[in-house]
Amino acid sequence: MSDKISRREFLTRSAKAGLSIAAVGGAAGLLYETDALKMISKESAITGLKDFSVASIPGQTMSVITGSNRTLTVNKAIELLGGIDRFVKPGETVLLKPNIGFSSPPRICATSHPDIIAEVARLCYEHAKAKKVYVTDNPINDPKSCFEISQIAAAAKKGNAEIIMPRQNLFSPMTLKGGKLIHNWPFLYQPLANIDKVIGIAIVKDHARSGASMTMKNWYGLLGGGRNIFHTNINTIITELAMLIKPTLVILDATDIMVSNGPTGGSASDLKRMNMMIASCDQIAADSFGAGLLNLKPADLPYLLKAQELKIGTTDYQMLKPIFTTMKG
Amino acid sequence: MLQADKKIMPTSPKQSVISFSILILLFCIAAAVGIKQQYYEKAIFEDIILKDSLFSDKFTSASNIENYSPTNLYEKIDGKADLYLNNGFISLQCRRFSDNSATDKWVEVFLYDMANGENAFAVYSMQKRPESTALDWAQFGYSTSDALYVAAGQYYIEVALSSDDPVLLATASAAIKNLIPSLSAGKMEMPFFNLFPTENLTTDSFKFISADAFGSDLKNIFTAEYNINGNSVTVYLSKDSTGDVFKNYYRFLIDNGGTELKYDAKLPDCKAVELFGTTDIIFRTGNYFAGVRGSAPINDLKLIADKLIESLSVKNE
Repeated sequence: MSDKISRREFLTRSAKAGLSIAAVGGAAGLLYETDALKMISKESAITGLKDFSVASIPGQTMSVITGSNRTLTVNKAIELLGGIDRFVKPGETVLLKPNIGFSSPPRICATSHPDIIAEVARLCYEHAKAKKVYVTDNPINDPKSCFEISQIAAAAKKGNAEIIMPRQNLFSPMTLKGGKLIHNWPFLYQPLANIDKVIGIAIVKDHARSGASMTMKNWYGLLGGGRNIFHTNINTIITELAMLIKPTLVILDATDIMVSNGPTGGSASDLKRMNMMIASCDQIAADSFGAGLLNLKPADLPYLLKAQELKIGTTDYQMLKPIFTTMKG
Repeated sequence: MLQADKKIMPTSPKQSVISFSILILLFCIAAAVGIKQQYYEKAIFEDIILKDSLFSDKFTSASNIENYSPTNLYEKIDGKADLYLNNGFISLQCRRFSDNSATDKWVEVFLYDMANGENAFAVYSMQKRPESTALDWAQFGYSTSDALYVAAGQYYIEVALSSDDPVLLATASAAIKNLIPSLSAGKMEMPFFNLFPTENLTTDSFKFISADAFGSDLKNIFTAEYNINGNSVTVYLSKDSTGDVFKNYYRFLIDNGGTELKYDAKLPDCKAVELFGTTDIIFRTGNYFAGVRGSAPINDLKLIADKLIESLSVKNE
């Protein structure tokens, strides 16, 4: 039997094959969704986070320690709230969320200080007998260089904490119930999905958009996607993040505060030495105290007032009877 | 048998036409790809300014050049991007260089193309650190213990150092000094500076504010600080050929609760308004709108306002 085909047969088969390819390609093109998030059904979108906070103890909600050694002051700040074992139980997993937004050295205080990360991780392991401590953030700049240059990678290693880099597969679409902006928005969810406790670690910074960047603004680093679109609604997004994340504890470092040219700064001349460390179960109270260090009132930072209206916390931190202590040496 | 199967079939003209058509199509695709590739973002590929050799051979580039445009500037400087975007930002090129003998010693250079000298001066002046040392080799430049800031032509340059290191600062200073002639043709002309009275003027206090000055719609104004009887006073000045700037700013002050003060004005278009403890004496003369503001006693403000009116009158003549 001859395996030759006629020219007519060849052209017919070629035409059929071409039409098949065109049909498949065309159908794929019609069905292709450029926004992958739209393909996720509403049912599969994450609609909130668990409450990571611990039971309140009157008079042990906020502490303010004066001192220049961050390791000592953060240790004392937590101790005065009842110790790390009040917040973390044996066998629990803990996520530390510092601000690692920029590839800047710790000296210019655009990022959380590595000494605090190392000390809190140590406390979690040695005193609270935590099972595992993780550190994560989704920086503005290249994540690898941010973790390295901020020296937080080295601090995490020193504290035996594991760094979770913000890989794309760790983001999930998040929708905040009652939120206007956080709707099917990429969120660094996986590091929080099965975690027991969350500790936010921020610094006091001037911020060109929001007025100040402290513990509440720090959660912005859990957003993915083109999050700069939220800059025009900065007060709303910070409020919504505070609605979404109920942390176990927040640490606000005011040893050196960035008083101008924030949030990046760039020079030690943008800093002012305040020698203070704040630990708080109420993020709004911590930020209200921090605002005062920047010569701002809560009314100057609308997100503080909005969050207070939503009863997330209080701007009247004095009402919480914060514990003030000065470290010697 | 195999040999028999391999006999060559004659080609028809139609087959030749199809074959040539396919070849022409492939050629067109190749040409289209080639043309498309001509329109790449040149700054990404051309190491035009922040060259490997920017620093002496004791330093090497520790990173590739990073390029940012108005659409992604926030990826580098986050919330500070607005300052640049509101002032004509075109592009940012930045690169880190490290000391060959100690890689923990590095310098990061940020080169902002701001389109023109006024814009570059605006971002320079609005971020100026009060505790700094003027650079004697730059028209607009200063250093802090760990950074260097220069406005040259249409460029604004920031140099961040890894540490508070005088040797590193000197190295960075020398490199940027060598770079400046390739960025700027020479001294930038700032004619507005000459309109400000010199008496009681705080040295190097000039600023250019391109938008939202004093929380209002005032834009494109030059300001300078004065010290009179221990009080700090701000003097501001802009073009106002129609008088609208004067009228709108006066309206802004009154609409926001300002109280007009009795004022013995030398000019017909002159007002004094007090708002939240700050007094503005504003006026229009010739093609200029100008003002003096501060919480100093009104007689002190008036003193500077009179000097400013005098200075502008001379220039208007």
